[in-house]
Amino acid sequence: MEYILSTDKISKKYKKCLAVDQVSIHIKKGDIYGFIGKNGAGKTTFLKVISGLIYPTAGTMNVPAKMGVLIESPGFYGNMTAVENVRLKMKYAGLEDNGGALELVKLVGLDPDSNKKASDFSLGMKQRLGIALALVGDPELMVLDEPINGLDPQGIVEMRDIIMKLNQERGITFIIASHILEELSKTATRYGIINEGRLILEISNEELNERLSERIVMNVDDIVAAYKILTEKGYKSVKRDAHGQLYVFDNGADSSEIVRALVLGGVRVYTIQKHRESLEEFYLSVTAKNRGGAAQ
Amino acid sequence: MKGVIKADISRMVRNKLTWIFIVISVAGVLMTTGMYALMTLLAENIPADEGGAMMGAFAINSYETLFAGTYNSDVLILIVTVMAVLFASAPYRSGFIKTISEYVKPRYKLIVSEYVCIFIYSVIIAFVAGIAAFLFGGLMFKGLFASVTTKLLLKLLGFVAGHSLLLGTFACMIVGMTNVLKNTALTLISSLLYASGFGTMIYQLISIALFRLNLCSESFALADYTVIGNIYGMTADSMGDDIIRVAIVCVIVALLSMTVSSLMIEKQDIK
Repeated sequence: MEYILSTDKISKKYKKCLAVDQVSIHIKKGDIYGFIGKNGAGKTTFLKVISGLIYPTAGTMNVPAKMGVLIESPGFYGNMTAVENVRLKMKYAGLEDNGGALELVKLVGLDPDSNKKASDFSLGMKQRLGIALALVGDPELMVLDEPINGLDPQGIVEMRDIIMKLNQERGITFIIASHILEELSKTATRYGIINEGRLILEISNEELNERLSERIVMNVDDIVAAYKILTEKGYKSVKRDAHGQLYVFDNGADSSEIVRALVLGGVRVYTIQKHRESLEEFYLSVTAKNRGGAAQ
Repeated sequence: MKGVIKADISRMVRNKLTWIFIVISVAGVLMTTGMYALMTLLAENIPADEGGAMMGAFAINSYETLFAGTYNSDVLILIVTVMAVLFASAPYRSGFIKTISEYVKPRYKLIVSEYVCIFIYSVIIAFVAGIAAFLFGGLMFKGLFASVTTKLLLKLLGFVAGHSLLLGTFACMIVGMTNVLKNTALTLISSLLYASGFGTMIYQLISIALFRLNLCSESFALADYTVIGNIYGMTADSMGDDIIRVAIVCVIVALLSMTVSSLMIEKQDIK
């Protein structure tokens, strides 16, 4: 299978700290790769390695010739407008500006005719400018590090729309590092989960959907009795939490059967609902199981 | 490479400080010339034993002494030092370096481009200062305009050209240092201290130490083989050998600093 980006055991060590530990990822053309990890997991360090900003201590990588990079905060000159910043980058890239700068600025939703200096931009506008700068040179791959951090809800939606548009209309592949999983789950087609510098799981959206477990969650009047009834009925994966909620994790459990069994057993059922595990819950369960473990 | 140089020239031109520093250099020359005019006036009017002799040491009676006084002072070198640090550190302070990193590979392109830009800028500063010194000097000192001959103009032109080379080379060294250290405050403070006289003082001390150790003659001055030493030491009456020495020093220092800083930033991470 041809990958637009692949790494083989990339590691980065700073003195005594192993920030990235033998990370091997694979991104296909057209993917939106969600790179998930908590703060300090090694996401930014890894992205800097693949972007060529920092050198790996070990490992090899195969990266596309043309990459657009937006890592940490967007880099621009505050004394210039958006268009001027884009034109400046085009000069560095040796590209002629035949209206391309105006087009890029418009594409990300900024006003190309504005004389506003970039230092006066709002956070959302700065992020958009960062995207526009990353788009210079028609990159095949865009590397985005926490692109929605600090944005308001509207800004988040607009950023998502820009990413989807670029992916679908221009075929640009993305690798997006984020710890805002809810948002990432709306765009990503593939995920890599990193924890304490190690890649613990790489999974496609389809595989993830299969793995996200369902559970039945209930509020009952007598949790002890309910637990006993369900375990005697043969439900193998029944759990109760400190808040008085009862969970049944067995695959294919029928909520109507459960209610019937509890009612016949003299237990009142106040609420019952089927709940599908979210990406966040999945991530927490994976990282809890794999503290210091290797990629699956 | 051409694209990188064009881009750096563009960002230099767009920066207000580029133009402000040119104005400051003219103002600096005006102040320096004015100070010398005042000293000359005092020397003429105060008796020698009442301080007039001391003032007389700063009296200007020719364009050669005025130009030497102007270019050997701190004004121009401090201006190009600050400009060099701010120019070279701007991509790191703004974060723009992360945006363009793929286009400045190998990284020596960044160094070469900035060297070219700051060298051109330093030459411009030197020539603007020369024109200002010529005009202000002629206005403030009697008889200076009348003393102008073609031979004098060529002499002054050669002097300014020599100082352009020195200022440009010094600015290039500072650019190299800024790219390697990536710490604006540290680079600014250390380079300003070096430029303002600490550098020549250190070289003088080393020369004295070498003489005491019988490693050189008493007339040997290490500063003569450094850029900063020649900035403060070169006069309009410098002879052919001196000029050749200055040119060789500048070329060697520029190439050495370019090579060292290119090699060092190639190995460094851009954080």
